[in-house]
Amino acid sequence: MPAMGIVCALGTGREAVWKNAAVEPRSGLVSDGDLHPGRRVLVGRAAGSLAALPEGLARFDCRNNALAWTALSQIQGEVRAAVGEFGPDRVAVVAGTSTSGTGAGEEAYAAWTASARLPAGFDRAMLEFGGLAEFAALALGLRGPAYTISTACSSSAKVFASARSLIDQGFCDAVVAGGADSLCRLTVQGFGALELVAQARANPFSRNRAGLNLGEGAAFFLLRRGGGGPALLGVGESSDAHHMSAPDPDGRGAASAMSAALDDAGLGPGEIAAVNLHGTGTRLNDAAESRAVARVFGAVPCVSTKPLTGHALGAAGAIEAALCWLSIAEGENGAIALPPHLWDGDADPELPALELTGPDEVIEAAGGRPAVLLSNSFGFGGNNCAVLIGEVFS
Amino acid sequence: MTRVVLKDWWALAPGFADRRAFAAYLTGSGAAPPPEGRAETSGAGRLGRRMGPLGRLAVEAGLRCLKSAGLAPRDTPSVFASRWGEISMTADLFASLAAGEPLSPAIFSHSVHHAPAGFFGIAAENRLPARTVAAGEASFCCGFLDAAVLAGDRREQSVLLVAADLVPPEPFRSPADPDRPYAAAFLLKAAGEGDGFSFACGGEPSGARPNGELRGEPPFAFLAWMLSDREELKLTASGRTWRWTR
Repeated sequence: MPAMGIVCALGTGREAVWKNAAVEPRSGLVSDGDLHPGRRVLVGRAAGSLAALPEGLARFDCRNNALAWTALSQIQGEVRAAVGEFGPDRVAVVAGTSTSGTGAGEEAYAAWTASARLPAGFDRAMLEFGGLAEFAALALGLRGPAYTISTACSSSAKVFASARSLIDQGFCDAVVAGGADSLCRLTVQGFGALELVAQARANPFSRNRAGLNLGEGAAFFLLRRGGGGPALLGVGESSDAHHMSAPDPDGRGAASAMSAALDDAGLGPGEIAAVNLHGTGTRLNDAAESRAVARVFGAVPCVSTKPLTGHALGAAGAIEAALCWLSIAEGENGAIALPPHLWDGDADPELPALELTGPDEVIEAAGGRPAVLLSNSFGFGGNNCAVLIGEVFS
Repeated sequence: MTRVVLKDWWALAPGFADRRAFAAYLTGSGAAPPPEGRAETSGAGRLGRRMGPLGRLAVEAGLRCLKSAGLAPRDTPSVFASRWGEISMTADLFASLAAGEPLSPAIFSHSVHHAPAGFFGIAAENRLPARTVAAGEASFCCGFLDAAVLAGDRREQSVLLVAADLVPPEPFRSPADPDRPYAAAFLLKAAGEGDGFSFACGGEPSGARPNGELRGEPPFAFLAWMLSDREELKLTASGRTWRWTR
């Protein structure tokens, strides 16, 4: 994974995001009164202005693709080099999203309801889930396969499994893999209808936890053999087969995904330096996930970065993989820094205790072994994915 | 290039009484029967009442395909491919937003793009990996690709691919959309050298394009080819050429 681009509530670009995640940590959540009429909610809105889409792609012009391009444009140089090395037909795109251009669809439908006409400039390509991958391929000049994976909150974690298999089985030589999701009224009000949105900042694993904060953003990687940088070491997937909007309370599916990732990488639980938890702050996720982590790892440093970024749904997998990537890439002399787990410190006594990170948390790699981080992403319907990112010693 | 074997298939759409009706249509040259009636979707039992229209079709096609193949539904990883997902439920949510009405939590949680995959897992008690792919008019082709690489990773198992779509409601409908909803399920397995068929993506667009006719939709173009003795199938979708070769 030699290149990574990112935009989220912590900022745009690796330097800004790492500074606000770990060097001088601060939550990027802001108060919003527009997305849910009659209610103010904290959201992780992408800070700053977004990159303008390349010329000729106006039919894809929606916030979701603008977020995607803001991240993708940061790795243009490396992607261009891959195209030069392999040819455009040999570089693919696998992108994750749960919203795509839903916000544009909301506005279009409202305009049509009021005037029987769609807004000028609206194209249903904005609304299609496949539009994200198609846009990314066109914007980067890529001619290999381009598709979107949409499995709610595990979308842009699952992309890594598909991307790696495409390379391993010879369908392409490089993949632009990642995800983008954008804040919109449908998701904010939908999660509100499910009574899953917290009034205050999310408080993962606290006895007082009361729900999640929604967020948005994008993160994309260039995946290829060689090329340096932190590496994708393993991916594990599973399904809960339990309920469409609640996880298996025992965390069996979550544990299965983590174990599958470890098996895939040929690593044992003791070789994992830390876990980036799905950690949404909902009562059910945190209960299931804490049981799963305890079952697989026993004790391991853990952090949920969602109080920093908000829960970016379909982009969360890629954004949190990017935070793991940054921990590895910014590490020095065998030590890696982790973002702090922001919470009230009042652990839920009914859950297995987790070693949640504090400020200035630094993990020393033991015995000269490479540092490896695991990132969890669990979607509606119990669609689970765990991703392992780590150093590779030559 | 990856080689794959098709172990079994199933298809559902209004106007088609059973699998034989599909086979007759796809191996002939006549028009599709009128899109009348609804496809039978009772395999998921009471769970079916909670699903959206796409989920009912997709889950039914998947369960029937596995039953036809004699496989336990819990033992097969899956890839679901859909261009539009539960678009009619999404439109209902848009209508609620436009009217300033509260959203239904059930419709919201059951309208996510991978809801069919989630309901399939619950109905089948299947805890294996389940993916959902979208890629515009190439949704089936990319779903096939993802299923093929998943099968390549798990050579001891078959992989269930279900391609399903609804007709988008207004104002999102296009004249190029098919005239009825459908679901087509395929059971794929990685093949050894010389077995099955190869599958590849690349080259300038040079194959048949979706044309609004049901047999021109990529899952049915593929199925028609499988039922024929033609050496090769070339499709153009989303600006790329997809090739299946015996």
